[in-house]
Amino acid sequence: MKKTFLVIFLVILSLSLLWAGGAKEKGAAGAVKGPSIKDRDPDTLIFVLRAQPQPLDPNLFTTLYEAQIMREINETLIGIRPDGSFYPVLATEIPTKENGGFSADGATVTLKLRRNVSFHNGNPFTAEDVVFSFNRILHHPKSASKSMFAAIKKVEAVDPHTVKITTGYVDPKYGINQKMESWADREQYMVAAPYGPIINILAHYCSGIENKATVEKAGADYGTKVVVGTGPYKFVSWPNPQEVNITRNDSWWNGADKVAFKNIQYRAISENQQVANALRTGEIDVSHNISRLELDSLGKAGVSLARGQGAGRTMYYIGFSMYSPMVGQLKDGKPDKSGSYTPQDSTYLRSAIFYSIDPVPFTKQVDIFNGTAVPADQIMHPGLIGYVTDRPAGTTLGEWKKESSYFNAAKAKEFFNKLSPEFKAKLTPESLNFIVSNIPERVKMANIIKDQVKTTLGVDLLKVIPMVHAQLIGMGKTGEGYDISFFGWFTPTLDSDYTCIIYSSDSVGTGMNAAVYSNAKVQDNIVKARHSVDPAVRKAAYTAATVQLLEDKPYVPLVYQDVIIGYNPRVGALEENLFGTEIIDVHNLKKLQ
Amino acid sequence: MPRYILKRLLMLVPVLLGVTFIVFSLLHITPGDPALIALGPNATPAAYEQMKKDMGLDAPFLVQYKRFLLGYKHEVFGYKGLLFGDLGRSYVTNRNVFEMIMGSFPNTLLLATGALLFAALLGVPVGILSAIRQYSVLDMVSTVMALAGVAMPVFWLAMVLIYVFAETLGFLPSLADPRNPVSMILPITTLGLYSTALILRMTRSAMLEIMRTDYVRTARAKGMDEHLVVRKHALRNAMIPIVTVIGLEFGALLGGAVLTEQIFAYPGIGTIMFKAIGEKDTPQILGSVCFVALVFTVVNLIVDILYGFIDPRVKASIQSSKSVNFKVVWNEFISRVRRK
Repeated sequence: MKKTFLVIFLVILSLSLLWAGGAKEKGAAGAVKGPSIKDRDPDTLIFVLRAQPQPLDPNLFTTLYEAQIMREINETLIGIRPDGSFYPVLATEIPTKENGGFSADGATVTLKLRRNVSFHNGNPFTAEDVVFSFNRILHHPKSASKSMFAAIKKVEAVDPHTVKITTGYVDPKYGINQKMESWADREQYMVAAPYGPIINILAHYCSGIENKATVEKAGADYGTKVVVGTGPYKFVSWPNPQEVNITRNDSWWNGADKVAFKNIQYRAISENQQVANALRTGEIDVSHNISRLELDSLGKAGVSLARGQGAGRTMYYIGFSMYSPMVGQLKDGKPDKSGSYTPQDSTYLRSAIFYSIDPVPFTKQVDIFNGTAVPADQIMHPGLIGYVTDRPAGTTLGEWKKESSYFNAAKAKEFFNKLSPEFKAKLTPESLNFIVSNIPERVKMANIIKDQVKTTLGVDLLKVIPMVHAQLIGMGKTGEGYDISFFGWFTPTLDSDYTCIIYSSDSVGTGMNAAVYSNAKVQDNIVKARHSVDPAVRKAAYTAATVQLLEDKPYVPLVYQDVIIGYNPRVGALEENLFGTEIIDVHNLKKLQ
Repeated sequence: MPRYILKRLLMLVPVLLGVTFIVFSLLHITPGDPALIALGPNATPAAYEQMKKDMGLDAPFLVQYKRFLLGYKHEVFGYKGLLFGDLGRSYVTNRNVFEMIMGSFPNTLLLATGALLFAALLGVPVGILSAIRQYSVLDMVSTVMALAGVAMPVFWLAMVLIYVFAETLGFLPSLADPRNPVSMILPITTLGLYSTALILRMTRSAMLEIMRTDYVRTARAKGMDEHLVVRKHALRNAMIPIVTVIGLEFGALLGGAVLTEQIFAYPGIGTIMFKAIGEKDTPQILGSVCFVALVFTVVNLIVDILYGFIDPRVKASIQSSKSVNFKVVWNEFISRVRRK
């Protein structure tokens, strides 16, 4: 028996020594080289998506995951860089009034198309494909981006290499909910007018051009088995829902020699820990959305981390339901949409809570942002045309401070003390419903807000109610059943018009305007900015809307979240090709090893 | 025997109908709006209403259930229905549900078969050795290992294996890929260890029970070779519970080793189900659950048929249409084990 135990002991001892000896040296000294990619093809970039993609059909599907792939396959007429500047892709130049690209009234854009461009299957690219693609975006029953492109009235092929796009809006006499199922409907119900974000829309990945002949022939298989574009990469296979393979298009019109990686393998992995493991072992090259808890360990293991603070990145905010008798804005029992609010108890309580919240602790908390977010000053993304850079003194926006955002305990108490005794009597513990998606980080932030309000006002007012996101959106449609909601938003078009969905009157009832906020003054400015192609006019209108929004306080801006990408140091030029929306222009990446 | 198999196959129909109805009802009453999921966050009310109508979500519950079974006619969103093998398209990925399942099932089959082979090849021999050398060092070590195998949570074991073999030693990959046999070692080990423990414990108990019976004593008294006693008299009689455990484990593993697949980012049916449930992707959940129920039932049927080959008493009872008699044999065995 003794002999057996001795043998077992020696085996365990040997294994321990082997383990200790085999352990990799970790630390700053080894950080430069990065994880090894031995045993895999160096020409293949393995790119992790954090969820499985929808079909690769840009006209119909819109999530980040397929967009990341589709950008490389289907090119748009206009391209956009992470800094928001434009460049021509399938169009020959960026339209301006000076080059005749915009009509005198600004409502029509004429685009000359690049010649001698072919789709991956050899079909020539023509204006007919452009008309077909926009027809699908606007009128296909499965299109998820109809609303984003709703301002397009008409797309015509002038000749095989020229298209004319007319923008506008639905004639108010038909109402904003008028159904638009064909070009004929648009012709009948829409009025031509300039559309400020038109270039951004043409640069958005959903307007990737598809080949009419191929899409019609493939039918329901298009996007999963058949995918064709004009871009630097072409579709190879989709062997299972979690993996998509694409390869370099050697006859790319812009020069295949500019594309560093021959093959890209996209893999959908949702687990944070597994993504971190695979980055450390060198099994993958790039991943979106790295867990904030892993930042230190990844850095020590030699994994590179790109921190993106570009336009359009996710912003977190809370919204007060304006239909709530406790924190909303009612007049004679109905929502006040006048734009000139009469202060009342619910207005004071809303302001008291507004000034009780300090988002700075979230930005630092290790298990939430771990230093990868900054406090937000407005419901508009920095870097977009509508972001107000000079906060005017004497306005709520002017009160914002980098160190504490809008937090002001004295002011919060001042508003709280204005409440009538009858109203105060209603403020029992957890009397305000605070709904939030059951995502751990968001629930943590909601609980911190609850504590901050309790500490500042002396009453534990908020009851945090986590729920699935779809339910949150569903409640946001009606504005009922809750007093406060917690949301996040990003702007994929990189134009402020998209951000305005959060507080536009048009969005009441969609779930996106969770405050069910409707203010005529703000809405007028949104519309003014939407229907102007003059940047100065647009900026002034957005500034007026933002200032008014903060006076009304339907929302409390919390933080702008940085984009964190983990990547193998053999991948070069990543930071300059990273968008605030987390998209990366893969064809511009460099191969360093 | 064919009659018995046909009877069991027909029993699948009410089982599957029950499963679909329960899951469909649960999905119907839980929050989440497929039309909104399909449209994305910036849908206008008009587009939303149109989408609801197009997807057939404006119809009453029973009409929707009938469509799920018998089909739904629509130019874009239409499908033939479960009874015709068409489960429609996923609300989230928009891919054909049946194709998604069929694309992932071979991967799950590979993982489950690997794990089961690992478990059976380790669990059965060690269980037999433990039984015939009861209270030896081997028996004690295997008992402790079996307890540990059952007690260790799969996710924890997987993380430890990844940390040791992928991150620290760099011997094996942390991501599993069905095309790379080396990458299958860790998930198969993770998944197989739990089954190994179960099979080992069951083999040991069954063998101990049989080894104490009179006919084994008689065989030994007659001077029969010990190997023959163990192999022909003891093992064959102990096989029914072992085969039952193996069969049930195989059915469960084919149903999707959700945690293992998730941790190793393995493209199997468990991963699809996990995502679908998180996103309330009704067609994908229903399709996957029906498929898993079907697989589980078919595997059970195969196990029942195998009983006949192992134990002539069961075969005789099936052939004489007394199809439930094998259960009596099984129950009798279990009660005897429990008495011990």
